[in-house]
Amino acid sequence: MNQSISAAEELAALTAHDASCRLAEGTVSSVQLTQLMLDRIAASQNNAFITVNPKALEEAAAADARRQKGEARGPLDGIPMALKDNISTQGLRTTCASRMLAEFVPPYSATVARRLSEAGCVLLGKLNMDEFAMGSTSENSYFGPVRNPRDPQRIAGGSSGGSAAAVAENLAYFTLGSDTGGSVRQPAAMCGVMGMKPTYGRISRYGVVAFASSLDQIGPITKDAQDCALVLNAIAGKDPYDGSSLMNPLPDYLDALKDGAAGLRIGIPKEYMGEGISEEVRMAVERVAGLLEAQGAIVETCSLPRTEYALSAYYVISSAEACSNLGRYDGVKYGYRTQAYANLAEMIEKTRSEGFGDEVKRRILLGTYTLSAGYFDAYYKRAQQARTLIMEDFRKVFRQYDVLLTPTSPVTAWALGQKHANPLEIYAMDVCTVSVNVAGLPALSLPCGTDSQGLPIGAQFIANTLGEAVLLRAAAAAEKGGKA
Amino acid sequence: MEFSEQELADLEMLARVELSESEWNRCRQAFQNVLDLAASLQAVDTEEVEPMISPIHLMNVMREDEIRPGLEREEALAQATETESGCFKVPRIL
Repeated sequence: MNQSISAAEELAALTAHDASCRLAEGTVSSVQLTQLMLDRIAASQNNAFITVNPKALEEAAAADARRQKGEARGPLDGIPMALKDNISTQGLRTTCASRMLAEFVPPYSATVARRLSEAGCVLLGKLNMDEFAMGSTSENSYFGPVRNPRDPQRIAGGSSGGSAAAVAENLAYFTLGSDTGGSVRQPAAMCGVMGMKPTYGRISRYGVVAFASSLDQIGPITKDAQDCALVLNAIAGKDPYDGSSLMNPLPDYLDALKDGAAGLRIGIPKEYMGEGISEEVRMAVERVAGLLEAQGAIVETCSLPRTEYALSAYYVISSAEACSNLGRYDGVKYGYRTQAYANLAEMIEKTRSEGFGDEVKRRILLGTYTLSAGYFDAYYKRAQQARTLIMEDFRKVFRQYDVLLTPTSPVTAWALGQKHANPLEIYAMDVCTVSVNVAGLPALSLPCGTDSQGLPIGAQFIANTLGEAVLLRAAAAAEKGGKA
Repeated sequence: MEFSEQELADLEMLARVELSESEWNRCRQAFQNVLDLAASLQAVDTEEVEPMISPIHLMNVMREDEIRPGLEREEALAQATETESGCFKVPRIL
């Protein structure tokens, strides 16, 4: 019996590309992999899932049937995965971890969900998150907080905490999250897995519940760089349904993995390694730099002097866009509606007051404030001007460097409930990730060891616009160096 | 900068979101802190700096106005709390 348990553990721990090889060899079926994941999800205590897909085994059986007929669709056919619960799935409840959408069943699927389905992936279910993706801990969920699989007393990070925890606990071979200010990268770092936020516009957001439209981007959370490339290959590219998706041609992201670190020019911005960064995190990031240098990369210190404005600019812009995007929740066409009301205005106000949680309401009010007459220029416009300056800083350093290396989060996962009293303290934890969204750049968080308490640390690579391939090149080289 | 009760009431009205007294007590300090953080932008020299509206250059793309399949009426109404005669239903406004 012990032997079969460990065989199952080993099967669950496989990367998606290794699981894909087993499927191709015929040593395991998609139904077996899917059943294994469903059993693990049912046994898990970490609250990573909000909804399990009742049709998962049916989808797996269809994948197996295709393979038997010699019609397998590609490397992801039959691979069980899961999606953050702000990604619409036709016929399967999509809650955004909010009371507002607790019963919402979308009439259509997001483009990313459709593309993964067309690639043959099996959808296991929908993943827990901070309500409307607002938060950095996955504690702001109507369905309760996500626990970190590495230490269940601690946060999984957020807002894609369920997406990162599910991969870390081997409940799915990969997941998708969304990243508005670090929401893919930071939970990936805290759970010890890889997370990428691609360039703004690289991946369609059609069917993804909008938070801050000039910052939001979908990203994969995986066990390694090769899986990240595989998933990116399946979901990236122009979508006629998303006017902000980019036309630029797509490389085969797997090619980037072979290039190695020799000659790679890496800049370490000093503003990201200073005050507030824990010593253990700093040392782990420096170890990554050392690994790459040993393979022939050139590592130097650089500067992004306007970094200090990124956090303020981010919170002003994201709250302003959120208050506009969340205006649609009025209890009329879909979503929660309050029980008792005297007139339309009262119905809308009570619906919104009861349907949204604290953090969401706070950001709606903040956004309303910064957009209101008399304050618009002082806050919103100024934040957009700061955004231009932050972008200029990045453009300048990318003339000299292929990729930047920083911590993903200044600290490792903290205890659940620890920072509730002061949200600003939590906001400050986003300092390494938000500037990437402000500038629309791609970035990736690489697991790079643990601290003295055994908690995972993430190192972040940042590349210039459409530089996903160089991120994967650096990540693959660091993985290789770490194993050697 | 201090945030007054009247300003909160105005904002609640604009945003159609009402906070209970306990909610407001819970978040008053946080709200103030975030506003103070936002106020740090006043230190940025923005003289002659263009605001960045989006990370990408968006262009208007025109296409023929062709009829394409969309949601059926029943599908579009399926998620509403109240419907009548194929329409969304709201409290009377006249």
